[in-house]
Amino acid sequence: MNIWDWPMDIGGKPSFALFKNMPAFIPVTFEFTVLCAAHGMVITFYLRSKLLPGVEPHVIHHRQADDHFVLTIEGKEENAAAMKSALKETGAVEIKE
Amino acid sequence: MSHVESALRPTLIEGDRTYHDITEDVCRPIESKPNKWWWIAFIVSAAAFLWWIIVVGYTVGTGLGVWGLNKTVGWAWDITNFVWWVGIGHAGTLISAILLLFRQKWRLSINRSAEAMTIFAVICAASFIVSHMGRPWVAYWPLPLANQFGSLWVNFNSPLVWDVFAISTYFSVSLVFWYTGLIPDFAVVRDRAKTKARKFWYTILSFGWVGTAKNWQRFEEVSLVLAGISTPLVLSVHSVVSMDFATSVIPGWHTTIFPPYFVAGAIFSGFAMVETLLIITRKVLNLENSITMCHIDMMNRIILLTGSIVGVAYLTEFFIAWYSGVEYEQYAFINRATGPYWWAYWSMMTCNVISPQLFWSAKLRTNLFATFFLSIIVNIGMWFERFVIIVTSLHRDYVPSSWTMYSPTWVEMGIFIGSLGLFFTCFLLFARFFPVIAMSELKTIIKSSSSQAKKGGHHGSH
Repeated sequence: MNIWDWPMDIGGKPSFALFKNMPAFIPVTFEFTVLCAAHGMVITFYLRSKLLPGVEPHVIHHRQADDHFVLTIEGKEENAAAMKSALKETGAVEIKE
Repeated sequence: MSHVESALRPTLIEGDRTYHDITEDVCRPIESKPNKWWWIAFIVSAAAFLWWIIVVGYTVGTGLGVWGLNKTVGWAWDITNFVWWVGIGHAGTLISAILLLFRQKWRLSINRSAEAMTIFAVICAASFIVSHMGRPWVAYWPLPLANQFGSLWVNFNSPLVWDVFAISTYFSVSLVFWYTGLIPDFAVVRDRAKTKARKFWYTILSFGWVGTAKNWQRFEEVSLVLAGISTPLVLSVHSVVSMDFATSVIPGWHTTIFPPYFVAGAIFSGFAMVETLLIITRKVLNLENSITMCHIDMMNRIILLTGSIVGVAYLTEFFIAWYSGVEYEQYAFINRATGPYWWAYWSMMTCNVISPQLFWSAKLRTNLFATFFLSIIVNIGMWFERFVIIVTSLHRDYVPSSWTMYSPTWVEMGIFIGSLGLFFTCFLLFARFFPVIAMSELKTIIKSSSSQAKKGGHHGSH
């Protein structure tokens, strides 16, 4: 639009035709690409991982974010005893049902 | 299990810290009351920030005539301070992006506070852009928005418009990079919270993070890709800032060396500011086990490297001015070194070229007082660099009859002091309410680079 209505030669970057001042558009093109890529990715990450302000966290153990690792296992009631002993054998610190 | 690291690699976590110890170390400042020194620092900074509001208000209300600018020197402290702050803002994303790509694990203890510093520094820089417009209510004019001015559109040939894109991209990308890293640590604070208010606020801040394996995997991927995107971004931002000068036809500005020279200078000053802040923070918050002398040493090495690059750039500039055969260019440089602003030029040379060379000595690199002193000297030097580039190039232009001198008024000095107040107010609030170390990420190196891992433990030695 500017090229058409206000042809100008600024700092050796003539705007009389688009192809002549194409290099002047590279910085903005680059920055805008980075802007869209970074924000697009982060927004996708938040949505995909269901991370948003106000989401209720499912905290299973109060030290899971500190120094403990939590393993949740779903199973049938009748296998519970066997599962428990298997976990104990492999060195579980704490088992909750 | 993590890999076994060579015993030659430095220990990055001292004091035999366990996972839980690190959590305690980092959460203590958030969970306890701030001491007297925090309050004193906070009140002083907040008062300086209030002063900023007053002097900027005075500038906007009265007009830019209250500054010391004249028709020859149209840019001075405003743009000096803008470039100075943007430069300082380069260390944070450099540490978290470039050092991540280079797998430098020592970044983990310092990246959080350095990124915070970046964000606050860029806010200060942006404040100078807005205040130097004189009419901040038209600050949206550089944006390519649909408007009522007929066929008038922003001029994409202008590096000032590139700057708007570069700085806003840099600010917002740094902000989300920083915030994404903060989420797991906010979750730690949330799960430990004993008071209702703390639980409430950190639940909101932590976005419902619980740290499932899938979330951590995505987190790592996002961090890596963001680092990849941010690396060229960091390098581009100060390149674009340098083009504000380099694409003009002012002798002393019209130089192709500017982009790399500005980027090196930015990293140089950014690391100096990180050191100024961290040497105090690690002491006050008792984080000496995580931010060790090794980290200080590493940062000093980067200061030595970038300081030397800056020194070479100064000499190259001088040589090229002579070699170009352009008398205006030659005069601009002779005038810098021997003209009325010779003192600014030689302060810059002393602070930026000579003083960092002291860091060749390992003794000084690991001396806290020397490091703290030199980090301040470097920032003074980098401020003078921008002042020299801007004011000495402008004050004697092509027409000798318009030659003049520039000196700042109390208003410009007040805005500078006020911006320091804004910066330190933000940083103090950050140190009080946010985890100052990326603890969840720092824990990943406890099995490879901590003092107990180095002692052998179950890894064995070779």
